[in-house]
Amino acid sequence: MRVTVTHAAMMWAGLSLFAAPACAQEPPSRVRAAVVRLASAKDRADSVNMVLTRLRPPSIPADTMFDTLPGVGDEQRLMVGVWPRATYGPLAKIQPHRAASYLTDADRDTGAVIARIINLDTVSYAKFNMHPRDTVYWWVGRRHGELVSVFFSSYPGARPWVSNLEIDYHPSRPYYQPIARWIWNDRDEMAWGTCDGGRCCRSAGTALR
Amino acid sequence: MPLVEMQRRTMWFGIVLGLVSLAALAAPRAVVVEGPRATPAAHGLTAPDAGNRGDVIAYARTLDFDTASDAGDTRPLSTPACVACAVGPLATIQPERGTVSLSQAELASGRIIARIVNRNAEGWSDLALTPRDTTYLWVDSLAGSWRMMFVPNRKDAEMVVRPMRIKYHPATGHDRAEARWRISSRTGAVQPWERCIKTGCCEPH
Repeated sequence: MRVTVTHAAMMWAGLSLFAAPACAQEPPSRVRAAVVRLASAKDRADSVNMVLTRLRPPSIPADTMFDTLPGVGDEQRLMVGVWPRATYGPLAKIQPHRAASYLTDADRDTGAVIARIINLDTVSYAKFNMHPRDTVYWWVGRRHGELVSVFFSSYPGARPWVSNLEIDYHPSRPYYQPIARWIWNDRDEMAWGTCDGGRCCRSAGTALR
Repeated sequence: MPLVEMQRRTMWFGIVLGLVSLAALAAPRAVVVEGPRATPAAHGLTAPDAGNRGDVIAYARTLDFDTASDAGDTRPLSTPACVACAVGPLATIQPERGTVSLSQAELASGRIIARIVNRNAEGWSDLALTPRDTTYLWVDSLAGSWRMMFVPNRKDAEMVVRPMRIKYHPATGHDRAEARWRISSRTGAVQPWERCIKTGCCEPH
């Protein structure tokens, strides 16, 4: 496929690239970045309350905050154990927060929820803080100066689960759409999602010491 | 000529020169931006069968599969709804780079849209995967019915034919081919899913 363009068109295209973050990529007004400042939480239980209150307000249906389209999220049967000596575990969905591709550095450093994980099965899972028939919110941000993932379960009494956070930079090929997936990392699955347009976040989901 | 007048003329000359330069830059001198080329046709080939299998494999080897991790997908394959069962072979699916530029008519005439690399020593008959080998995905339409054919690289291995459907979506500006493993909502098995034309995605039915 060949497309013919003029220099003028290329100049405008270049300019519009700079303009895009300010206008074209603005999320719908009801879906704001799910920024949650955990540093102000009194204790663990309070941090869970803060996240659940922010992500499950009674006035807004949850599906308006998270993209439920099959192509932008993922649904897989996660593995128990380490491949190749592994068995199938629960069926789990991961869905991106609709504003995840618009986060700023400040949002991410403060901390924001970028995706939710839904356990469709009645079994618990050792990673990602997944309890039976649970919805878990994936928060990324700084904790004691270090970038981490925290998985907040909505299961009654569940504690926050701190895990690693790896960030991939791809400024030359930004994602204009929030995406979340289960990806394979040599011997096990990882959660993967858009942090902002030019970065992607990954987490193994195992507890961080 | 007074000095002020000279300065004014020099300023105007500079402005005019700048405008002319901008106009020259914006003049319609065509440059060509390369988008992804559409997956080439299998010239003279019909759907894979016992007679032309070697030719189809040879055609498949001329194609350009995207090996980037975010273009394809790797997973252990799974049996439907099988908690605590042993996992299947680890398989990587990689899209042919030009599928995102294909029209529906081009796809209907027959194309290989992806390859699956089985990284294990065990096979997986549902998707015609042979041990540590490659299987190609051929898609075409016969009398209005779409089908996906799994064509193993090994000529003595059985092919698998599955009915297929296209889920349509609006054309996007995204020009990257993508292939994934997805769980079938109907059977619960892991199966291929790929953006196979400009405005749609293919998955076995």
